[in-house]
Amino acid sequence: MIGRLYLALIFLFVCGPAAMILFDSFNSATSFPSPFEHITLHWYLAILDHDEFLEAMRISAIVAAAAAAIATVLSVPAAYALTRRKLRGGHALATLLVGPLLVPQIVMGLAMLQLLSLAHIELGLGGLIAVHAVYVMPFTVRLALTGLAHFNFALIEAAKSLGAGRLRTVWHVTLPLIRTSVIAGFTFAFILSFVDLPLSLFLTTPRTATLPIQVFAYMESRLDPLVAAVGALVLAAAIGLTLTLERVFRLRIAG
Amino acid sequence: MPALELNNLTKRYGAALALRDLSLRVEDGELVCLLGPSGCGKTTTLRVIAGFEPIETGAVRIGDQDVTRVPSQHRDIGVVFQSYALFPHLTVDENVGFGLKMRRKPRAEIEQAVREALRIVRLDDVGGRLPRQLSGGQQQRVALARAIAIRPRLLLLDEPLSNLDAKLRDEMREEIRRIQRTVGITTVFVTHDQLEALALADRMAVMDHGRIIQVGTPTEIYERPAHEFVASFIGQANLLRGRVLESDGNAVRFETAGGLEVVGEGGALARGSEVIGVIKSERIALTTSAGIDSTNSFATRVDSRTYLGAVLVLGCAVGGERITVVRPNDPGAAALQIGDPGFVRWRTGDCLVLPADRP
Repeated sequence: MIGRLYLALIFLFVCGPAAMILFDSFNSATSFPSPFEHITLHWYLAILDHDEFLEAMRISAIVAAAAAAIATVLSVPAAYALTRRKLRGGHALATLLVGPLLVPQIVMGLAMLQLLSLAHIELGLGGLIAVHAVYVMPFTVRLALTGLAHFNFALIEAAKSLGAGRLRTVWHVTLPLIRTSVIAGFTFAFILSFVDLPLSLFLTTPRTATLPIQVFAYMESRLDPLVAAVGALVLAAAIGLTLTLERVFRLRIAG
Repeated sequence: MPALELNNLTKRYGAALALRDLSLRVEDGELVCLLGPSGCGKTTTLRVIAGFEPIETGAVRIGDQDVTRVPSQHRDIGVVFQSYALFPHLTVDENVGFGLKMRRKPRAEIEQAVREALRIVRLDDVGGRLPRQLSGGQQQRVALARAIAIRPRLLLLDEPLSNLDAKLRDEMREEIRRIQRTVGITTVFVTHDQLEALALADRMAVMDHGRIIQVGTPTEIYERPAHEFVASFIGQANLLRGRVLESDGNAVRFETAGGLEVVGEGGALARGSEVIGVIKSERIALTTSAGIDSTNSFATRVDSRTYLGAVLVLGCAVGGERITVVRPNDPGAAALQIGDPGFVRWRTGDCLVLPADRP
């Protein structure tokens, strides 16, 4: 009984804020937050009139997909090397790869801004993608390491002895066996990047504003449930993406 | 021309020498066992042949080709791993066909070869299953089928039976022998189990500390060990240390450290030199009366007795030595109890005298 109650409390704690957003997004009241008046889809339809939100969603999707892809492609070989070869200082290296988690995101964004201006590179999608890739790398590395933790390296030798070169071994043996963790890592990275605000704060221009930046900008001038509707959409998309992947690849991101 | 030739292989792991100037020739169609205690370099040798480990010096030749610098995937070898290393995400058919797929053979040819390989290892109707749905013995057969499906020049087996329970191990041992004969493939088999080696090998190479100590047929190795190490490693032998009293042709008379005067057979050995007498435990008679001939016959008392079903292992104190006697479990032997007096005796020809190994 107490266990059930405890679970319910945890659930409320985790999902409560999200439920509030959902609640507000259907509220016809014009200010936010406010007591419920009546149910409406007005705010969802209103998004369609705000091109800047649609464009920001597109930018965020591009940045998140590119950052997650780069991080995944870099992480898998790194995790492989860390697992396979008992590298001297391998532990330190693994810690270093998780390093970006320890740097406040806003500092990381600022650092990237400085780096870009030092190199005389104009702000654009490039810098944004780069800093997002660095930020999500700890997650893709971690998941790749988990996937390789119980990998039987005799399989690599078996494939070699049967005539498979390096690339074909990776393609036919290694990747299929760690697929679950790689895809989970990618998904996780994508979602983290998609919803991140502080990293992008100094690196976006009006043309490359990501969705969180756009929401933030909107809220500085107006407070109506439109942003709640945007938030609810993002939440739905994230849940949808996770469920789809779980279905398609029969993978368990949670466990 | 030998099917496999290892010439003066040397391999280091850091400061440790894993292989020291190791040479071996394996003839076409032959099954050679590498036998030795763990850490002796037998698995390293196999991995060098497979191309998984580089070597510092020496050469590996398969047939007429020097493969020392040829990567594993171009050596045309079949390897059976201790853990089987079956691809867990592929079905039995896909596992067995993997090597042919990598060789870009047409689908029909692959199917044919897979069927043939599975027929040879006597596995039918499991082609569509995943490895984890098979028993240990079946996995072992799939691993063998996968290795032979590519018709390799050489078959390498790394302790393939060590993960099976005792009964299955005997069965698979016979199977491996049968399959090897059927396919007629040159085979190198690594094991730490001397029974496995004795039962399987055409010839066996006994290894220690990265060296091959002796190569020979199972009979040669068992009956005529050339070194103390081989004598102590193979079979259950009594090793009596001593010094030569006199040496006459083949016969050697020596006195053991425990004060026994023993006559055995060996080469010409200098008087006073340190030797070791090797007497297999099952060649020693344990009787209640002394024989007519007093040579190699000593009064004793049974001081330990181990019942192993088919045989009895009896420990006997003889002067300052302890002699282990293995007797078949017949009524005479079974009646012997700890404390019983008796006589141990062996034929001169059953005591092999070897120069002692340098420590």
